[in-house]
Parts: sequence; C-alpha cells; structure tokens
Amino acid sequence: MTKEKDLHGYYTGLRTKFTVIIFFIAFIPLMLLGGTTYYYYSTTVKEKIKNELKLITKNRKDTIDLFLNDRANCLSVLAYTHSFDFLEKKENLLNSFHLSKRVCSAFQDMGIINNDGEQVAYVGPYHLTGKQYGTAEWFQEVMEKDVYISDVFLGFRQVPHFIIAVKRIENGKPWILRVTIDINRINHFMSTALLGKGGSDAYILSREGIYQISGDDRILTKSDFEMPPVFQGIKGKEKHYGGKTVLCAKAWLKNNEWLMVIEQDLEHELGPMVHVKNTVFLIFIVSSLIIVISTMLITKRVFARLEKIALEKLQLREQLVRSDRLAAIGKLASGIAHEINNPLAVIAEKAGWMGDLLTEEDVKNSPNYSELFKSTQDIKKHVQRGKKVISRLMGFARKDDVAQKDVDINFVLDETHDFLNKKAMFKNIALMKEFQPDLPSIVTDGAQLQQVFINIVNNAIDAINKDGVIRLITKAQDGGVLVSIADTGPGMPEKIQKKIFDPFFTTKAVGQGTGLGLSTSYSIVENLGGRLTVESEVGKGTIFHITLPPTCFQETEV
Amino acid sequence: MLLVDDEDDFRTTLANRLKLRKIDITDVASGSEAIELVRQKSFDVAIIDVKMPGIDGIETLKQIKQLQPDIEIVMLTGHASIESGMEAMKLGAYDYVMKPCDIDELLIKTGEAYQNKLLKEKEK
Repeated sequence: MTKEKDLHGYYTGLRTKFTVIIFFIAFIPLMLLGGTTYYYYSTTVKEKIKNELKLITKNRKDTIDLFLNDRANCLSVLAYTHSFDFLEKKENLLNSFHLSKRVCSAFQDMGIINNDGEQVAYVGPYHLTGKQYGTAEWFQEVMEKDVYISDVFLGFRQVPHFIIAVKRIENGKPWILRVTIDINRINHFMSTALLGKGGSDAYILSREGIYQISGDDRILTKSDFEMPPVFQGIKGKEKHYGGKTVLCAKAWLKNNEWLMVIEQDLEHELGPMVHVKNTVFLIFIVSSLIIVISTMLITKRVFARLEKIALEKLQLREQLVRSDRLAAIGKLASGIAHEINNPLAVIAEKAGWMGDLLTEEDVKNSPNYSELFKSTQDIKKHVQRGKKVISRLMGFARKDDVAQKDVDINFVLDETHDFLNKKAMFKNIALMKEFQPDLPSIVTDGAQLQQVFINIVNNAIDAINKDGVIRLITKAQDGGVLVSIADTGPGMPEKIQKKIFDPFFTTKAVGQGTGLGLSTSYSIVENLGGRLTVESEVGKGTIFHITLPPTCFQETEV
Repeated sequence: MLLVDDEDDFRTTLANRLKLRKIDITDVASGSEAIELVRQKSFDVAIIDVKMPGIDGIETLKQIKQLQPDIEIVMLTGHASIESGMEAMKLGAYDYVMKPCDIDELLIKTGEAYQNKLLKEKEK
C-alpha cells in the first residue's frame, strides 16, 4: 500500500513539474510574439504620426512665409505705382485699398504716413487719420529697412494686430504705405494644421517667447516655452508634461523672427492602438487559457496512464514474487506429503492387519480385546485425519500449477464418460451424453473440473446402485457453460440437500465414503469462480448444476 | 491376484489381510518382477502402486496389459490426487484407489474389476 502511495506521490510531483515546464515553453514564445508585435506596431504608428506632423508643419511654414512675402510685394507694387499726392486723397486711397484687397486678401485697413510720422490718410474700420506714429517702433524700423513686417502689438486701436509697411522716397522725401493684416486669417491656417480633433495645439511665438498667433486669448502674453536657437527646416521632438506624451514640431519663419509650434497629444492620436492592445491582450489570454487547459488535460491523461502502467508493473512484480514463493511452498508441501503418505499407508495397513487378527477366536476371548480393537479403529481414524491433511496440502501445492487454458467442457465430460462408463455398465446404468455441439470454450483448469465431474458421477452411480440412467448435459449460458448431471436415483429430501456440501457429511455406510467428495467439489467450483447447486426430488432423482463463467480460474491469494 | 508395491511393510501386510479374506494373492516388490511373473502365469486382477523405483506403475501397467490384455488393473496412488489415477485409467486400468486405502474400498473395487473381467469373458 505504501509503495502505491509513494508511486502516486512520485507521479503527482513529476506531473506538476511537467505541467509547469510545458507551460513556460508554450508561454515564452507567446509572450515574445505578442510583445514584439505590439512594440513594433506601436513604434511604427508613432513614427508615422511624427512624420505626418513634420510634413504638415513644413507645409504651414511655407504657406505663411509665402503669404507674408506676397502681401509685402503687393504693398510695394502699390507704393511704387502711385505717388504720395495721389494716395493722400482719401477716395484714391480707398480705391487702391479695395483694388489691392481683391488680389491680396487679409488686408484690414490701409494708411499713408508722411515723413514726420503722421498718418495723413487712412481707410479702414477705425478712426486713425492724423495719428502720430513718429515714436512707434515699427516706424523707426521701416525708415531703416524700406519694408517691414511687425510683431503683433496693440497700437492705438488697442486690438492685437500686426502691420506690413513699405517706404518710398519721392522727390527726396520719404513716405510710408502701411496695411494691417487680419491675424484670424493666419490663425485659420494654423488651426487647419491640427491632426486630430482634440489634444492638439498650434501657435506662433516671437523670438522673445511672446504669443503672436494663437487660437485663444494667449496673444501677447509671455510663453514659458523654451526658445530654441535659430535653425533651418523642421524639428520634431517628444515632450512629456503632466503625465502626457506630446509630439512637438517647430519651424522658424518670417526671416527667423517667428517660431511656429504645432503640438499633438500622442495618446489621443494613438487611440486606435488601445484597440490593438486590447485585441493582443485578448488573444494572449485566450491562448493562455487554451494552453493551461490543454496542458493540464494532456498531462493528466498521460500521467494517469503512466501511473497505471507503473502500478501494474509493481503489482505484476509482487504477484511474481508471490507466485514464486507459492511455487516453492507448493514443492515443499508436495515433497512432505509424499514422504508422509507412504508411512501413513503402512501404519493404516498394520492397524488393519491387527484388527483382522483380533477377530481370531483365541484373541477375542482376551479381556483386553475390546480395548485393543478400539485402538486399531482409532489408529485408522487418525490415519484418515492425516490423509485429509495431506490431501489439503497437495491440493494447495497443486493450486500453483493451475493451468489456465481454453478448455472444451464437452471434451472433459467425454473423458469423464470414458472413465466411468465401465463402472456404470457393470451396474447396468446408462451414462448418456447430451452435449450442445458448439459450446464456447472456457478458460479454466480442466483437471480440477474433471475431478468434480468424476466425483458427482461417482456419487450418482452409487446413489442409483443398479439399473438407471445418468445424463451428462451441457448448455451454453451467458457466454459460459452450464453442466447438468442428472440421475434417476432415489433423490434426497430437502433436509439432506442442505447438508450434502458440508464436509464429512455422507449417506454412505461407514467405510464406504469419506464425506469429502461433494464438499471438495463445491470448494473447487467456487474457487474457480463457478457455482455448484443441487436440485432433487425424492423418488425421481437428483440434478447437479455446475455454472461456469467464461473465465473460470482461481485467483492466487495469500 | 497380483499385488505390486515397493514398500515391503505395506505390501506384505496388505497381502496378509487379503489372504485372510480368502483371496489368492501373489505379491512382488517391483515392476520388473511383476512383468516376469505375468509372463509365466495369468492373473485375474493386479493391484499396482503408481510410484515405484525402477519401472514405475504406469509402465508396469502398460507392459502387463500387453502381455495379458484381459487382466484388470486397480492402481494405488500415493499422490493423494486423481491425476495419476486418471492417467492410468486412460491407459486401461479399471479404477484407482488412493493411499492410505481402506481395505473395504479396495475389496469393492477389485471385486468390481473381477466381475467386469468375468462379464467380458462371458460376452466372448
């Protein structure tokens, strides 16, 4: 038992080990595959977004640069094709303003400023005629540079705007043509640059970090943006603030005076990646479940089988050892039985001879005759006891040689018939065979069955005594065989029927039978796994039924 | 009648007991002696022990049957088993008795054997 427990423990441990190993072997590639796929996919997507952002930023930079240059050129053409005197007149200026607005949109108003910085003519929504700009920063700049585009400022109108101004020297006297640019127009360019719907921002900063163009009221406030040195082209960067990852593209424009910044919230843009992530995760979970379940099922089955085989092997070995030991005991027993049986026979004969001699006249008259006679009877009785012990020993010894063979019961009964036919004929008893021809063969010990049949038929012959019929009947039954031995003897009352299988019970005269025949037969049949039953009616006869299952042999037990 | 057994004590005692019961019995100690005797003289019934040194009971049975086919034979088996008895019966023995045997059982069986022999002779 403990061996079986040890075996079970060993295999349970081994099974756990195998399960864990298979688990990891299946898991590692799955994790690697899932992880790398997700990593490369997300990196690719991120790279794509970055490139897209850079492209858009470059596009917007070029557009705004072009826009500003275009407006400055337009103004220059106007200034150089008309004289100060002509444009000084308000109706002429209005005409020119409307004309230029057709070609160059985004002009808000237009004005002529003389050498002293006074706005001599103005068209537009504000009342700015006669305003003095002599001290304005932009006036100083344009006087120096001929063409000037300002930063955003409030000016007299107290509204954020920027201007383009052109200086012309006419007859040695300089004058200035100036327009205001609608910053909403530029803001519009910027906002169309945004990729997604949310999480993004686009603005323009001056070199000092002051908001120039922006979608909200940040204009003219100071930004905390770290101003980079001037560079050519576009720069992309990944920035982290407030737990967010932001992609940021920058470009210098307007002769490197303004810095355009477009920011894109990466997580917002990577939204669809969450879906990919979830799908990968789901596949991972499902695969893991399948791996776990199949691993457990497979190892369970395999190990149950392995354990069963090992257990069978163990049992087989134990059985082999046991049957080896039994064979040895059997040999010893049969040796002893043979050695004791012969002296026992001599003792029995000597006692019998003494008993015979005691019947002589002269000894019979001896006063000790009865004691002597009883002694010889006692010796005989105890020799019989010894014989039974030896018989049992021999029976045990034979148990090991139980031949388990396919046995044709009809053939065995044929032999029984041959053995006993002479004896039966002698008593004028017909021994009849009523065999079913195609009887299934039975795995059993034919010799032991033969002993049973001979016992029963002998009993039947003795029961009939003279003139009668004994029928040996075979019949297939439940894959096995039913043997019935019926005689036309006197039959037995129920009281006797109950006792006939008891050891030492006999109806024969003293000295005619041992009373062991039927009990031995009974135990043989039971040991072989069959059943021996009797059916009898006084005056009609007796039937013995021997039921034999398909596999019919005794199991060796100690 | 002929009695063949190698165990002297057993054989002489059994022979004495049978003689006491008015049976004409000759006893010999081995198979070869028995065969020799059957060559010279005919017997009705022979009682032969299965287990003997030299020529064993089964061999003796075969040779005696060859010499005198109408002889009836009852085997004595010391094996306390029926296998050797059955083997002998297959070879033509009339019956077998297990050792240690009851004298009455032996008398019944030899009697039957003798009757059987007489029956056969009558049929002829």
